[in-house]
Amino acid sequence: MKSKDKFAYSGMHPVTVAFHIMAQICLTMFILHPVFVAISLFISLFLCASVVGKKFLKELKFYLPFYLIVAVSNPLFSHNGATPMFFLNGKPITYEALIYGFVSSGMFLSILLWCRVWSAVITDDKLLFLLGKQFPKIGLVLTVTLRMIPRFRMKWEELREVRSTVDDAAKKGFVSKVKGALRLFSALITQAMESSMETGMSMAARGYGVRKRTSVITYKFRTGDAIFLSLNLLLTASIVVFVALGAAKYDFYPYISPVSVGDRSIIVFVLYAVQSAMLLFKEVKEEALWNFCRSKI
Amino acid sequence: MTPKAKTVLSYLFLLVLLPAIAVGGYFLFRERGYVWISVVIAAVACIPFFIRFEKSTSDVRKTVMLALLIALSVLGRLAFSYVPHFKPVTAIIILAGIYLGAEAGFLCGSLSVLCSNFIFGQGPWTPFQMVAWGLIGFIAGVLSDPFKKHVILLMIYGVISGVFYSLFMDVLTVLWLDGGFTTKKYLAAIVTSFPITLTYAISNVIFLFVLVKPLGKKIDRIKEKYGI
Amino acid sequence: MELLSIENLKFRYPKSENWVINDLSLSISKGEFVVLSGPTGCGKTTLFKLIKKELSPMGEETGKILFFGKDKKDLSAQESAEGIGFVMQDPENQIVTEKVLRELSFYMENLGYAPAVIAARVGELSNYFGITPWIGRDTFHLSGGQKQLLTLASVMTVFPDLLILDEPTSRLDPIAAGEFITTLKRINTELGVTVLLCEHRLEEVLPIADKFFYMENGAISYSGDPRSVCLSLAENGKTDILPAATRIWHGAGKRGEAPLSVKEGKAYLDRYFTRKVALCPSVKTGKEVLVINNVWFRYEKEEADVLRGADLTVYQNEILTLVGGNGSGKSTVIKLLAGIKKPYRGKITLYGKNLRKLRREELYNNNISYLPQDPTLLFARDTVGDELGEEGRRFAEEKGLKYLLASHPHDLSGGEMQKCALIKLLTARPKILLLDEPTKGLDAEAKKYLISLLKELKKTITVVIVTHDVEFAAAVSDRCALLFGGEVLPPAHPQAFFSENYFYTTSASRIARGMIEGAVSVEQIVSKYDAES
Repeated sequence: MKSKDKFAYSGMHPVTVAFHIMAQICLTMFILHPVFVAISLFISLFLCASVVGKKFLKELKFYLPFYLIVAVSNPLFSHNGATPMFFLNGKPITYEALIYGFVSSGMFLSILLWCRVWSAVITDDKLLFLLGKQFPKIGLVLTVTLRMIPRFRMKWEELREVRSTVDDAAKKGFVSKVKGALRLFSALITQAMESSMETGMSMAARGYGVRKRTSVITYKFRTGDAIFLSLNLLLTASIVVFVALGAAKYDFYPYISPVSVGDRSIIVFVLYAVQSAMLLFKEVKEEALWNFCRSKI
Repeated sequence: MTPKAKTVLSYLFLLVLLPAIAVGGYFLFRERGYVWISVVIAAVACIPFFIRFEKSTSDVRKTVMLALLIALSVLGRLAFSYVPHFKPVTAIIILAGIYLGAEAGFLCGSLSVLCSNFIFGQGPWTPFQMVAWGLIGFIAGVLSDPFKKHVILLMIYGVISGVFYSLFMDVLTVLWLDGGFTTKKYLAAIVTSFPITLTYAISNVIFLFVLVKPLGKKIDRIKEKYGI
Repeated sequence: MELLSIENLKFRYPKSENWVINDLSLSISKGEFVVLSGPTGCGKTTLFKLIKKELSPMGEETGKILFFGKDKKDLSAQESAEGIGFVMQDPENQIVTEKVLRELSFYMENLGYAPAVIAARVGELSNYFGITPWIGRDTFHLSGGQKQLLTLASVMTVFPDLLILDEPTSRLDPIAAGEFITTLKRINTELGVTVLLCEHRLEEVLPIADKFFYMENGAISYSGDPRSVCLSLAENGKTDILPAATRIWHGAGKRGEAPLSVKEGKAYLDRYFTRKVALCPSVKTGKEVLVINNVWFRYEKEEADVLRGADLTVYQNEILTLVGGNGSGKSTVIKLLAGIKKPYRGKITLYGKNLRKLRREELYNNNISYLPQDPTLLFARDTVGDELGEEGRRFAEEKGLKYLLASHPHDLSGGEMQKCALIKLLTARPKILLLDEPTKGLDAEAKKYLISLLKELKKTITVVIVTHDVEFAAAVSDRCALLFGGEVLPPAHPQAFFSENYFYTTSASRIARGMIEGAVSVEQIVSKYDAES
């Protein structure tokens, strides 16, 4: 839960960023078309690498097997499609189902990756800001909770250490171990309750509940945000219109339809690519600017 | 604009615009629109509860106690992360509902999800889990009196809520994997997830059994000592 | 102008017979720096909570509390919240939010200040309190001193007329505590905020106080300017709580005006002591019990080393004390000795055996007992009696603590808790006792008792203590050592140790410096005086 602000997002209004990612997730979720999926997947991969950093390489080890398993398992369960490759237990394993598996699995993966971008970019205080306008009290409950979690984790560790030196220390056997663990948990709850009551007092002493809370976290909505947001709205709207007109229509069964690159399709592909890559553009731009400024020094 | 007009407007936004998006989404994307609708509806379903909590009077100790139980359930989910599906979360949420009231039960459920998904990953499942656990806590709060009197009822409720949670999440699974919703697919999903459902139910009963007495006693002690 | 006046206040908790506050009256004028002290259990905390309406406990209350001449009950929520700022003991529990910046704005947000006002004031105050360098951090990662400063700054954001502080420095090391009190003084003199402070460290606060109240059994028993109150306390035999300078004065001649500060104490010695003398102590050694040999330790792989090649030998039947600032690794050393943490390099031996190779039951049954900084951690059951066990209960009854056995561990006072924790540890019949900050939350009397108990125990067992409390260390130890730079500096006899330190030392040693070399306690100075006259 560390807040790590990359250049590009730290200056942007949370609403701008949140809207962009939400829109992107929704579009990805509903357009099952190989080109769209590919665009969304590749851009989300790059973006993840850029915002998450080195850690992302480790996470990929989890994402990739997931992708393959979901992709390959589809033809095992779905026997639609007109082109059997071979038969398994008398059931056809079809080419179409395999392709469908890869595309839909790509879609899941890119949604996961977009969610990952969301967690990296919309830090807790940005989320609290988004919530805080409408729900200041819930925002506060969340912030208190977020403070308690690491504290209780530490308390748990301390308790475990100390209890290991006293009477339960030498006892063996499953039952007494479970009993010991339960006693530990029960002690943690007591500790947590006592300390949170003091937190409560400190809140009361500082006027909690006297009036309707205001919120100090403010982000300025700047011209850059306005441009980004309106561009984003425009792109999303036009993509939706194109999709409604059938630009993203694609059939897997019974035969894989060919990917058409007619005028209308190519436009909507480009639009979609631009929409997906907006954050990435911004990131690259700022990085370049930063390097440029540094080279001047 | 007066503040009141602002609030009215924002509620209108929430209660009219979001369903409109859902319906619009359906017409636009047809088959695949079901996920869309269900996620939006799940998100919207939380809002009345949130609004009610915002409107209620601020008893600081109750607020902290709520935060505390949320933190505990998040930690519980974390502590048992290596045992799949066997978690104390539901038990803690049920107890939150019983001892702090229905509203707090809902909040404990939904906010536990929001907080723990910071660690476990947010996704389209977040609103679904929020509603499911929220409702479990809410109902526990509504029925708190019989539950306090008869432990056996509480255990039964533990089983029911485990099953309910599983069934509820299966809806998402079906929609998510296949777009369309048919009874056949849903039944298939229920069958596949049966072992998970069983684990949920068993873990709920075990954790409720273990936690109800000490946690209840502690909450009562704190209530007496600090006069909540 | 009268800011706060309390008239014939009485208070008792529900279901309780005796009055915690018993006919108490006091008055505080605007702009004063007021210190209140008294033994634990005298009702200080209850009094403070009664003054602040939002915190007032339930119970029976008679008498009057007037704030600017207005009865407490007639104050609006806003007036009370804005008028009186309140800082408690434990900085850990007081911090509500997870970010420093949010914590600073918390108070103002509650009172509905406009965001622009909040932003401006937070900026201003964080500069004033020197918080700016860490304003973007998570509150979880701050040091104890920073946490308490943050709490103070957060309270100051609404500029209360009265600032109440309940033992705010009890969880801080001496250097951080000194800084905190200096900040309080600045708030009082530069901003004109009235301060009501409860504090055990009278040494540092009395010289800057305008008024001193001493409270006993729920009422103010002495009040007035600090010097005259100290004088009457001394006359009535309550010397333990007084500043070192005053105790020296009281023990050594009572000539002239009673000194309060170190500076005045030095002047007193200069004036009335004729000869310069030196005490020369020597250190005894014995059989080696615990040996730390070139030990390296860090908590997380990516973090910096806490210990870098530390060496230390503990001898049988001695009391060895380790002192050092926050983060110097004191608690780490004691956890390593207790076998809770393991070094990643180096060896620790217990009676020549590698600590790592000993099994749990070998380590903790009749061998090592460890008292953590927070003794409540030892108590996982619902009553004290359950936790102590058969033998412990008998022992507690012998010590006259039977009345505590049915209580919940968290309802005990600091001193009671400490006693019960020690009883629990002693029932395991340890050969070695490891104590982490044993004087935390103890008043003068309880400390005195602890010192005599440890000296008694020393005859049969070995004791290792880590502490911030230099006065306690000087009084109890056979040897003392300073932890610095990840190493344990060579231990020395407390007299040699504290008379060579300039900052980590007792007030008595500071006063005696240049006059009676080697004296580190009031008793030693006073005994020299007796020898002289």
